Amino acid sequence: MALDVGTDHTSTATAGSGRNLLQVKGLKMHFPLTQGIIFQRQVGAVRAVDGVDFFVEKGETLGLVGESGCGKSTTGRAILQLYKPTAGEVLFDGVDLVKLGGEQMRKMRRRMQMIFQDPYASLNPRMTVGNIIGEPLEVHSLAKGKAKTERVQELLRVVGLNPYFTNRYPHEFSGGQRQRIGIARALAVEPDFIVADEPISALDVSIQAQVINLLEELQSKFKLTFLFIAHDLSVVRHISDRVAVMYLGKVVELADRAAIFERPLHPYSQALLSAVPIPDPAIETKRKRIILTGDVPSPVNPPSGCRFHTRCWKAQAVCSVTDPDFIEHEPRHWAACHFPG
Amino acid sequence: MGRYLARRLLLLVPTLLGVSVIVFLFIRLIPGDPATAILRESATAAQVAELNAKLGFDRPLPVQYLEYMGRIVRGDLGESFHTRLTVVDQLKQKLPATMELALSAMIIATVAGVLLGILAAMRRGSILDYGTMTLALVGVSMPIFWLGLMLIYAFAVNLHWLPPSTRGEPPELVRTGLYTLDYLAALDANGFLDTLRHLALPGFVLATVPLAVIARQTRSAMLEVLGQDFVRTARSKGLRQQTVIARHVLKNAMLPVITVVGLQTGALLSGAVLTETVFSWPGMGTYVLEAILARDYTVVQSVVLVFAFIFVMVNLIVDLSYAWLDPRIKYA
Repeated sequence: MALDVGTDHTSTATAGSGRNLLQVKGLKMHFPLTQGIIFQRQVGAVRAVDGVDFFVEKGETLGLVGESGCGKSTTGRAILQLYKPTAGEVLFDGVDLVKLGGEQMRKMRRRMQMIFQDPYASLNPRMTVGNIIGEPLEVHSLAKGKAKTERVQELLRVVGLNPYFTNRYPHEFSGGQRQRIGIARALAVEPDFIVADEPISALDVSIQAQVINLLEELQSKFKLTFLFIAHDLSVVRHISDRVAVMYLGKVVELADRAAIFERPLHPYSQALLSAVPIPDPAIETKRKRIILTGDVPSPVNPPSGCRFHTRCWKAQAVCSVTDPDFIEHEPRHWAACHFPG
Repeated sequence: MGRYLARRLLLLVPTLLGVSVIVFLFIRLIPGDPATAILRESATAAQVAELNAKLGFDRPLPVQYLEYMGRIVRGDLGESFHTRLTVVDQLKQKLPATMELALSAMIIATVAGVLLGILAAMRRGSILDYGTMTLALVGVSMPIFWLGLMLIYAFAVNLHWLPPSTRGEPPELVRTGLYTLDYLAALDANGFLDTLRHLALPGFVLATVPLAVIARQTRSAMLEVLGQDFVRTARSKGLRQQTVIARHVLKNAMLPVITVVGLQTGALLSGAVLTETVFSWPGMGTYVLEAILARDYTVVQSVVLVFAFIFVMVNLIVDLSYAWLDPRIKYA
């Protein structure tokens, strides 16, 4: 059974403490590949997310990192049921979101929101800022009429925008301001959980810090729980309590921030972290970097055994045969590797 | 906005001038002339030349053109040298007939086209999608005069469900010239229904091409918008699917659809000539066709000028509607 991941053994292993707001078990998201013009038949699947286990504790920020195309964003969207997962469970406060019907899930959305990556494309260009932020209030019957307007103005103030901007349209704002609108929109329904999908990668560097600080401020003010998806490791190090590292549709390591950054167990995490430059020329020149060779394999046809074995300098015969279990090697430090450390 | 409107209306002048020159020259390039059309083939060359001279068609072209334009700017669209009826009087009768037909066709085409386009986009890749798009292809490709004849054969000749031609009995009191409205104003249900029955076949025939084009355009615009990030944002807010489609997708998808509706309304004018001929509809189409056959130069020139004016105005309305639909577009 060693090839089968996402079994009870691994999911109980990542159960964490009893304070979990979210627990993801064996989550899979496969996108079918079809061929044919009129009669389409499935010829394969992109295994964007292929058996992911992790948990998010109440009030914490879990950073989800990995290179482009490893399935980070897909994981975030599948958790919020913006995609229908192929398999697995997403337990939110004990309720499996995957099993919820359309109407129940719609109501559940009040408690979980998403901040999107692209502040230009993710706001409806034909709607005023007031309508964009106010719409969820209306849908979930939280406020209407004058109360709604007041709430929208309050939200704009909270995210540092002029409350009198309600009648303006998204194109009248800069990228940073638009992202603040997106944040205000996500906060409108007073959610418990927010998936921030690379919320700053589309912004100017000068604006990035502002938005990060705003997110931290809002987190402590509203007791928010974050799943923070990013590929910028220094940002993740700054904002996260714990970090999950993804490679080709799987979480390969999950640990507290300090543990991950100081003692990464998985070779992929080690390579990833060694790529972060250190702003000190003396250390930077002496620093040993692990350069991975080869490209990321295709998620349509992932390597057998451990998915990383094609690029791993520690790989042995066993790695191409047996997929390593996701094991707690130290307290609260999980990794999926035959030769960790 | 006001300045923009003024500029656009000012541009109407060179556009219509250009159209008038082209029509004036082209109608004279067709073989035949008014005198031959009146006197038939048997007339001698001398008789033809004499009649043409009497009608003033022997004068140099620039003189004829300037004289014609001189009347136009005074609001006189001229008269048929054939029937002696003034074009203005004829338009008062024929324009409403064509308007009623064209409006019916456009309503059918827009409502059905947008609905089919939405359904096809939402069920992308389904039988419904392929079926609709195949029908749309047939609709665009079908010669409408042939479709008109087939429908007359099926629904009027064989089944006797619908009348084969004409507009039906005119209402006692003609106010707008649109029989449907006039019957409605007179609270005459029978007359109204009879008008609708007369409108059904030609209205549908004239609607086929725009319907097909609008359905295809709506489908592709919807699919494009459905793939946008803000649609995902809308879903993540917890909106119902209908609300997402109606409030977020449709409004954004409508811009290219409106453009097509506008362009098709212009194209409808040429479709009307064919449809009206097939259904003996007493409108601008039959009027201009008869005028062309009779080489009734003045009538052809004036009617085409009116067509051009309508076309330009429809386009202006379309352009103005963009600003209403999309807050990012501002006219100054």
